[in-house]
Amino acid sequence: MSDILLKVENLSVEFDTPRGPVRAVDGVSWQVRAGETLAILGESGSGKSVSTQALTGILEMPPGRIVSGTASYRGEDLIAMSVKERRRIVGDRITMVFQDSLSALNPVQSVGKQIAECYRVHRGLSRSEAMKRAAEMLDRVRIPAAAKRVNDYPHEFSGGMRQRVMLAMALALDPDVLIADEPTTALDVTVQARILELIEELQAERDMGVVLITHDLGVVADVADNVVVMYAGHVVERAATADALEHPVHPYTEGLLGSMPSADLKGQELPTIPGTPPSLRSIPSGCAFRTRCPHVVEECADEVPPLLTVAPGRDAACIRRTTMPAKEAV
Amino acid sequence: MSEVQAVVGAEAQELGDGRTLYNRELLRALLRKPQFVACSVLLLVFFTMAAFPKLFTSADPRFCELTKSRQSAADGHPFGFDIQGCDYFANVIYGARPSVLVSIVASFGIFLLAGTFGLMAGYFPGAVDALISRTADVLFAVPGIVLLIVILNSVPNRSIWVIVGVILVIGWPAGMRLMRSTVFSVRNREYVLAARSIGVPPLRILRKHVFPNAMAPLLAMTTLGIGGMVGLEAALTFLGVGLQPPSISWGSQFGVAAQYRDTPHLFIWPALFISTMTISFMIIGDSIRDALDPKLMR
Amino acid sequence: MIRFVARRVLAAIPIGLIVTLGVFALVFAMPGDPLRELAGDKPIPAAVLAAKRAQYHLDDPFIVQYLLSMKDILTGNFGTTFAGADIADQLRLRIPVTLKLTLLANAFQWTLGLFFGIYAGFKRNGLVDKSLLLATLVLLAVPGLVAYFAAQYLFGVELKWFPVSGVLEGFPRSYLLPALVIGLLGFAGLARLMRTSIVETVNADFVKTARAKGLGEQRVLWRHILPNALLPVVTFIGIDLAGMFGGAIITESIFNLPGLGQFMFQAIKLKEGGVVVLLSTLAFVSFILINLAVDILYGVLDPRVRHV
Repeated sequence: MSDILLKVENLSVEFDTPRGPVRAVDGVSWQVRAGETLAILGESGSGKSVSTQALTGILEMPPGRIVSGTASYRGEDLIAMSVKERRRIVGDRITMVFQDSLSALNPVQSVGKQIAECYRVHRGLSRSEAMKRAAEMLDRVRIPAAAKRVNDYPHEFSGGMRQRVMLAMALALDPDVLIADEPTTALDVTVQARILELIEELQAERDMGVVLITHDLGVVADVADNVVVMYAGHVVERAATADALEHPVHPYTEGLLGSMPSADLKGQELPTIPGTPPSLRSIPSGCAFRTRCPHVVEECADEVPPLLTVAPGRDAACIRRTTMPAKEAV
Repeated sequence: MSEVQAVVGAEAQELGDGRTLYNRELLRALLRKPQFVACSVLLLVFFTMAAFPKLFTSADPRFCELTKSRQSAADGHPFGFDIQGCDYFANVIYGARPSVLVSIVASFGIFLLAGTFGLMAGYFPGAVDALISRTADVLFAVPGIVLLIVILNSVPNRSIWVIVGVILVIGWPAGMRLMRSTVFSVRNREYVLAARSIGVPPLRILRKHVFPNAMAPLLAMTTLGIGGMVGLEAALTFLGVGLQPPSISWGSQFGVAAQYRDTPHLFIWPALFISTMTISFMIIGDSIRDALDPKLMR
Repeated sequence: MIRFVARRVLAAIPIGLIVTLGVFALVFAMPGDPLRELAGDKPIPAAVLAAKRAQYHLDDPFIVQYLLSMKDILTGNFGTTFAGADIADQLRLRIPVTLKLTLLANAFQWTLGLFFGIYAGFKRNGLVDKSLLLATLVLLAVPGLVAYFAAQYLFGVELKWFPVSGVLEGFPRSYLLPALVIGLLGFAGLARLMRTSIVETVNADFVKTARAKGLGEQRVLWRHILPNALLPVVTFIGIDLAGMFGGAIITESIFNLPGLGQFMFQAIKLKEGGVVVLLSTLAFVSFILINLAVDILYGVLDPRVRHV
């Protein structure tokens, strides 16, 4: 197996609000290897973005606060290291792509300049050399007439092209890990597929680890090797994508899969997960999902279910599933 | 004036979009702020002063003894005497009325005018918008104070209402522009489209859906601008195009004080009163703006 | 670019016509005979009066008077005031006074405003930020009139640091005090605007991107936050400079500075329609030019509104 590039262990993040602290991420662990794509799947507010923002140091702190946990990149803990040391890694070895490329790019700087900035700051290249590399990078992400468009501004690109610019910027320094935070959510389905293909292609070429944050099961099924399912700040299931999709263990994952529209279900009412995700301010005691769970029993309220290994390479946080016979779980 | 409006406009812009507080909620949030409570009490005092000056002083501001001209404080005359030898305390107290009246009525009037015009310009693009916006352009193109002076100078008997009226005619464009831009951002919101799709008449949409959701920036701008109106009235009177004698006002007291620099009490007392009043208005406006700011809620 | 400027100038012409016509009409509508009032109680010989009336076209119908005034303005043939002073000379003397005052006041305002605004915005919720918010709130609230008088009394009459009024001591001494007060009052608005704008920009997504690129904090502030945060401030320049002329009427009256504001005020008082329209035109033209310059500057700073 290839090297583990980024390993997050027991990460907890709280936000200070006027009405007291709120825990957005609670004891989350995951890892990503070279060449692997890890999907972090969850609804908005499940803490999936917060965990990556915390470990890269771009989370607003305060009000955010890392309560515990480590995030080691090749054995070095990003959270414990100084801001200066972290800057050598984040932006160089670990880079990020965000959802809304229009607001995530500086509107008053040409895209070339923004890409070139990576080379100038991390590699100390001259202005002209950096611009040349930026143009090459735009060409790599298949932006037509890259040499000309390098001087254009973000608003002059279409949504899909802009996301390619984001990718070019993130991949400029040939990083080890790419964290893509809902990179295709704002795009049309066809454009979305092309961007995902592009990521896959560049990943294979560079043997890069990709952390893909998404709420879209379809995207997960398409590209992810492994998946981490988050609910209300907790990891509820961790598995190889194929396993998770075939035999979901946690009732939440099961519910997500069940509510995916498909041709087989035509004419029937689409099953949904009853209820709404809890507000982080009032997470139910014990298992956070129990108020919406079809398999709930009294013991679910007693304590937060630990993430337990149910099969080789598969973890789930559900006291019923670790005791229930496997066939009921299918 | 317009500078304050520009700043306030910028600070209030983020208040647009949809978030309206229920009055009770807003009031509760405000009452938690000590500076808001303190300034409200002060303003209440000024309002009482304007309505019932006799509660504060038994002296007649127009009873004068020339021999006491410009004397400083004495028994029963805490602020001394003015140039005519009238009790200055009584004069300053009676001077509150024009300031309070002009500022409140003009601000409220401008809120209504700017709000209505802004709503119409923002909701009915085309001829209505063009008419209102071009008129505003013209009014913006001349310094407002020049227009005020020119118009007021041609009115022989200027009452408070004439001054308020002229301020209204000149003063609405800034607020209108703010309202218009917020209406633009609200008019294509789903709830407005929904109302339109089920055939709610335009006036009702404006009243029930657009106005409540677009008024916060203008409200903040208006409350923060009330203090400026007090200053404007004083400035006009000082320049000789505001209230005329025998009306008693802080502005005319400044005018007199400017000519008698060796008796600073003529300036200090009205200045103190007027500043307290404008600062109170400003702090109240600031508190309301904070309370309306969705980012600070929760 | 040229087309943009041409379009703006063309659009300004009808507004300029309405403005001048409106102002002239207002002055025309003022009651009373300007010449008689100027003469006071002294009886004027009918012949002199008639000659004067003819000189200023006072007996012509309104629209003829307006057109004659506009012709004079456009041909640079300004004539004399009712009191006999050459208007061109007056302008030559007065324009520098108002310019000096305005430029000095702006120098104070922009140095202070940008410095404190940027500092407070970058270190928000710090001591400087909190005191700035309070101080500027008070400065915005104090009526200009009170501030001018208080400064005049304190620094002029009592402490004698500056001349109380007039321009006898020349530039810069005579201008320092009024400019300082105007600058201080203007600084309050500018600093608040700058601060608000920075605080809002700090939360923008592209700032997160910049941090995720591993840029140093200083680079994020100066290269990414500030260029974006300056945009609303640029708009403020236009509003601010356009308001300077109006403000000059009050300040020049209080500090007795013989500038354009004072000229305007006297002209209104004396019902000199020609002068009022001339000065209004001057104010209007500078308003248009300033706004044009601001728009061009804005286009340079913000590629999204660039006019090609």
